[in-house]
Amino acid sequence: MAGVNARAKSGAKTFRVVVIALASVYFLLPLVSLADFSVRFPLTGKVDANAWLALIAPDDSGRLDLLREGLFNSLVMAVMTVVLAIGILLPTMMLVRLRLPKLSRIVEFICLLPLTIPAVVLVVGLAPIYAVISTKILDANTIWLAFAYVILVLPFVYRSLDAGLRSIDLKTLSETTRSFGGSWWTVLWRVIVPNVRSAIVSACFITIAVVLGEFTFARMLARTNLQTSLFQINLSDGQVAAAVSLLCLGLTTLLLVALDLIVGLGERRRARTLAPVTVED
Amino acid sequence: MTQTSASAGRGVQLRNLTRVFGSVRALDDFSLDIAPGELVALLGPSGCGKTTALRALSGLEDVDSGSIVVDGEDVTAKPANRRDMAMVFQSYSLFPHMTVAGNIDFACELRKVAGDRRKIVAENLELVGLGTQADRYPHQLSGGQQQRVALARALAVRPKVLLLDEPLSALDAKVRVQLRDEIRRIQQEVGITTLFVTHDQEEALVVADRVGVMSSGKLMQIGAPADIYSRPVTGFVADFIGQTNKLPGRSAGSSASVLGQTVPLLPGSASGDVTVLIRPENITLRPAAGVAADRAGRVQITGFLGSHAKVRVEVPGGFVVAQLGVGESSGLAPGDEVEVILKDVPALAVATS
Repeated sequence: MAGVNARAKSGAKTFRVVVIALASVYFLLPLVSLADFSVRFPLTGKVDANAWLALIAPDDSGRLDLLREGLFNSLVMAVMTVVLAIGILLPTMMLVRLRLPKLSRIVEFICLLPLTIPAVVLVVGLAPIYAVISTKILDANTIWLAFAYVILVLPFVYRSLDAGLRSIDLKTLSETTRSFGGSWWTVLWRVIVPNVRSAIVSACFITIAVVLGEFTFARMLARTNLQTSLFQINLSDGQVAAAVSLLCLGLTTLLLVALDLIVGLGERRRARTLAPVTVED
Repeated sequence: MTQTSASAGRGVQLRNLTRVFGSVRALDDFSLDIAPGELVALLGPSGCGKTTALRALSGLEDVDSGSIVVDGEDVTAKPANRRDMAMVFQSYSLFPHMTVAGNIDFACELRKVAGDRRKIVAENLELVGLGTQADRYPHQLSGGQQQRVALARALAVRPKVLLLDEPLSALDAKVRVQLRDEIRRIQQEVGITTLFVTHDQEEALVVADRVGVMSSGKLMQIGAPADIYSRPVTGFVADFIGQTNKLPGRSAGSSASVLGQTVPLLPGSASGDVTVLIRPENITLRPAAGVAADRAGRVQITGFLGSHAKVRVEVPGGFVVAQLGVGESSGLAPGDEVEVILKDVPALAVATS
């Protein structure tokens, strides 16, 4: 019996190792290939760092300016999209759960709808809207694409926040806060947000990832973001584009890790400020 | 404790409250007065409206009509966060991301409690016997400890009224009794006006100065626990509080004939053919054979309950349950013939339906 158990455990461990190895290869192989492509000249196989050096060398072709503009626009739009999507969806979902539970199915349907509509179709609908936004309401600045990106990330943000809100007793927590004199803002900011922090962080991660990787909207609406600028650079120099892509991937990863650390740090600091004291009779 | 004088002594008047959910009248012209420093328990079956009454007082539930006056001020239109009350919920309701101290400190911060908040936190934790648990998180505490923290948090903000919404329901029996006694001790020590909602009659009878029994959104009766128990004014109250034998009888004014014996009746009893409601402790059994048929019975089941025993006896037209001392019941066994004797204690008679 013990031998059977040991064999079963060993088999399960082997299975886990194989799955992890396959997943690692699946994710890492394209990155390694990209890195290899960025330093190896395709025709001769010669290895050099010219593509990487080009990123810091003086540039008179204007392609780095294009890249900087695209990166800046994408980062600004990522922040705007995160703020708008979570700022709109979290209070809405709280309201629906606390006051209008009958609407929850409708809200869920609306939020998941963008998943079923191809980006190209969405752009066709959005083009006339952006024509009005560009000429009559705001201007043609790329950052206003963030409004469209909010629609694009709704399903992911909804799912993430939904999981977070399901994991807490929203009604009791909000009623407790209210009964102690807290406003609805206090309920949201001091009680709910800290308790769905991981859900918000994952919603932020996926939103940033979607916005930094978005190409279709920007390309078809003739705006400059990170992906469209990479596309432009790729037309003239594929190796530089590969180097920039890797660099952006690294920066994005650092950004997300930093975000997680900052949020966690805030929580720990607050917990430390409440050390117990002794009562004297 | 310095908070005694700060929080004690706020009267509450709920006047003709009505709250309708669809076709259900959760509160139906409900009125209740709570004296300063008093602990009133609302008791009733599920759906009777007791929690709605408590939530209406807290401001978490709107009322369709009626008024709520606290300490002389009409707070009916005030939102929950401006009513200066504190509530302890059934489901602990501690903020999971805060330590025990953090939970209490946060409540004090929201309520803008004056004074050294750290000291207030420590004092209230000492009050509930959790002085050493200040830096723990809720998930590191047992259910009983979490509810003590919730109680400490509610007391720390020095509310005008303390609201307890079935605070012991989620706890196991032993902890429930322990915390129940502690709630009573602390409430008396602090002297805070308290409304306690429960469906557990024993809990209500033990902790409350007065018990209100509710049914279908109405307050059926309110009074001291002993009065509610021994002088119920309706069949529902008699039936709901404690165990009651329902025996057919014939009422003649202030007494009724039941099982061939005469039983004095409480004021408000029905007359004519009635059902007389008699507590098990008001029935005694005497082993005897060959007694008059209408008071003779046969033991069906005996149940030992520690301090006393309950004996079910078959009588003409049904059965009665008698509560006896352990010594009295020890000689009885199923099948024994007994004489059923009704004590000379006033009982309520309701019209036979």
